[in-house]
Amino acid sequence: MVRILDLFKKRTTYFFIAVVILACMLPLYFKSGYSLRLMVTIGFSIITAMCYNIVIGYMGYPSLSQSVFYGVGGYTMALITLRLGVSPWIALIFSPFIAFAVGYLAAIPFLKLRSMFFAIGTLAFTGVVNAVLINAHKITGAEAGLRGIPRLLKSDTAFFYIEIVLIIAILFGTKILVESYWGKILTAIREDEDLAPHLGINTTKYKRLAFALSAAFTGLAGAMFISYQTYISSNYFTIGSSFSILACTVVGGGGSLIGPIIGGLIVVGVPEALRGVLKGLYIWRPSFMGAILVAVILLFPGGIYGGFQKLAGYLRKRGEK
Amino acid sequence: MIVQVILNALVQTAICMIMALGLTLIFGVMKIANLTHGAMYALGAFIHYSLIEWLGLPFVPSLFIAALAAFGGGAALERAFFRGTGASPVVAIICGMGLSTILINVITNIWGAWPLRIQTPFSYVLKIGRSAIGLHNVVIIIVSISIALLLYAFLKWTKFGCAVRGVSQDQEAAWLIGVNVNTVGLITFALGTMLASIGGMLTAPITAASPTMGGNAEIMGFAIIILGGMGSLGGAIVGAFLLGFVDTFVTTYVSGGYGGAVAFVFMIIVILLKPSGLFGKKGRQI
Repeated sequence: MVRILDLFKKRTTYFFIAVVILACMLPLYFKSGYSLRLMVTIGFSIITAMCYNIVIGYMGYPSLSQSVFYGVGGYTMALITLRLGVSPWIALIFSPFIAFAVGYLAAIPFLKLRSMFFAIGTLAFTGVVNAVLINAHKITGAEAGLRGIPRLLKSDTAFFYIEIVLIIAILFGTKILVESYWGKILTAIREDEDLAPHLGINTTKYKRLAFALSAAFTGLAGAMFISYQTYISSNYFTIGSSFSILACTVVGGGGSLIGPIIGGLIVVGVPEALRGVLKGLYIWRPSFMGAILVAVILLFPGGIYGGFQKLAGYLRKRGEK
Repeated sequence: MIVQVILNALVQTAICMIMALGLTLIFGVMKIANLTHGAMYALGAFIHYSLIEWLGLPFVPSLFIAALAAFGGGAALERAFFRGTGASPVVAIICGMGLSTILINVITNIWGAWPLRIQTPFSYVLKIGRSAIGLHNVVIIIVSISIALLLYAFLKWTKFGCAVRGVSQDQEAAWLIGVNVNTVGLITFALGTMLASIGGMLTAPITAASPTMGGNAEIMGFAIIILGGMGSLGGAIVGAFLLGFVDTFVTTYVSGGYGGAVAFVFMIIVILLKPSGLFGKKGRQI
C-alpha cells in the first residue's frame, strides 16, 4: 500500500497519466479513416516491440524470429475462425497459448546458442517457417492469403482503445517482471551468462520461459492484428517483418520500459506522418528505417531513450558544477 | 535425367561456393557474420547490368570493372561501419541488417523492382549425351574453381595471405608480431564483398537480376559456412558441394519451394549437433 502511495509523489506518474489521457483523446481529433488506421498500425508495432524487448533488451538475446510468433498467433486466429467458424474472441484466447507452446519448443534448441549464432539460427528459423507457409498454400493461402476473417470489434476507434489498454498492461507487466526475482535473473543472464549458474540460477529454465512468454504476447498481438486486417498472408511474417520489430526496439532503446514505445513511434510513425509532406520521398522509407537503425546502433547503443538519459545525466552534472 | 540433375547441382555448387568463400573469409578474420553480403551480391549484378546496357561495354570487361567497384564499396562499408576487427558481433549483425535494407531499397529505387535480364555472350549450349549445359554455366564452374585456387594460392604463398591466416588464428598474437590487423580486416572484407558481387554477376544471366535476389543466396552461404565450420575455406568448399547437391535434388524431386528450406533445416541441425561445423576448430566457439 505504501508503495502505491509513493507513486503519487513522483513526477513520472503524473507525466504518465497525462500521456495516457492525451493518447486517449487522439481519436477525437484525428477522425479520418486513414489516420485512425495509421494509429492502430503504430500501436501494433509498439506492442510487438514491447514483447520483443523482454528477449533482446532484458535477456540480451538478439532473436530474429519474432515475426514467426506474430504469425503463429495470426494464423491461429485465421484458421480457427474460418475453418471452425467460432467467434474471434474464442480464437483470441487460444492464440497466446499456441504461440507460447511454439515459442517454448523453439527455445529448446535455439537458446543453446549465443549472440551471433543465436541471431543466425533464429533467422534460419524464420526462413523455414516462411518457406513452409508459402508451400503449404492449401492451408495457409500462401502469398495470396486468406480473406474474410471476422473482426473482434467493429470500429477502428475501439481497436485503438483496446491497444492502449494492452500497451499499459504490458508496460506494467514488464515493470513487475523486471523488478521481480525473475527479472533480476534475466539481467544476470544478459550481463554474464556463465557466471549466473554459479550463483545457483537455473538459467535454461528462465531463458526458455521468458522467450516463450514474449512469444505468447506477440502471438496475442498477431491475432488481434489479423482480426483487425480481416486478411492474412505469408507476406506479413517474413525476415523483413522480424527486422522491423527489431528496428523498433533497438532504435527506441532495448532494456528500458518506454524505449520500444519511442521506437515504434519513430520507426513506423515518422515516415507515415511525413508521407503527405514529402510525397516523392516515400519510396525511401526502408532506407530511412535502415539508416536510423545503423545510426542509433553505432552512436547510441542504448537507443534513443538511452541516449536521452545519458544527455540528461551529463547536463545535470554540468548544472551542479 | 540423373546426369542433367548432377550438372545443375554442379552449377548450383559453384555459385554457392563463391558466396560461401567470401563469407567464410570475412568471418575468419573479423569474427562477424556479414549480413550485407546478399545485398552486395544484388548490387554487383545491377552495376554489371548498367555497365552493359547504359554504357555499352562488353560482358567480360564490365564484369571486372563491377568487381573492382564492389571491392571499393566493400572497403568503404568496412571503414564506415565494421571498422577494424573490434566490432561486437551482435552490433555487426544489426548494423548489417540495416545496411542491407538500405542497399536493397536504393537498388529498387534506381533500377526498379522488375527483374532485369542480362544477356550473356556465352549462349552456346553443350550437349552431353541426352543432357545439356549452357556454356555460361560451364564458365561459372570454371570461374568458381579458379577463384578457389587463386584464394588458396593467395593465402598460402603471399606474405599478405600469411598475415590474413595469422589474424584469423589469433588476432592479438598477430598484433604483437607487427601485423596491421586493421588493414588485413579492410582488405579481407573488400575481397569477400567482391566475391559476393562476382557471384551475383554470374547468376544474373540465369535467374535475372532482382533487388532481393541476394536474400536466399546469402542464407545459403551462411548454411554452407556453418556446415563446413565458420572460417574454414576447405569446409566452405565441401559444404557448398553438400548443400548444392541437396538443394538441387530436393528442388528437382520434391518441390521447388522447399529447396531453400532444406538448407535452413541443415543449418539448424548442424548448429545444434556440432556447433563448430564439420571442419571448424575444436571446441565450442559460441
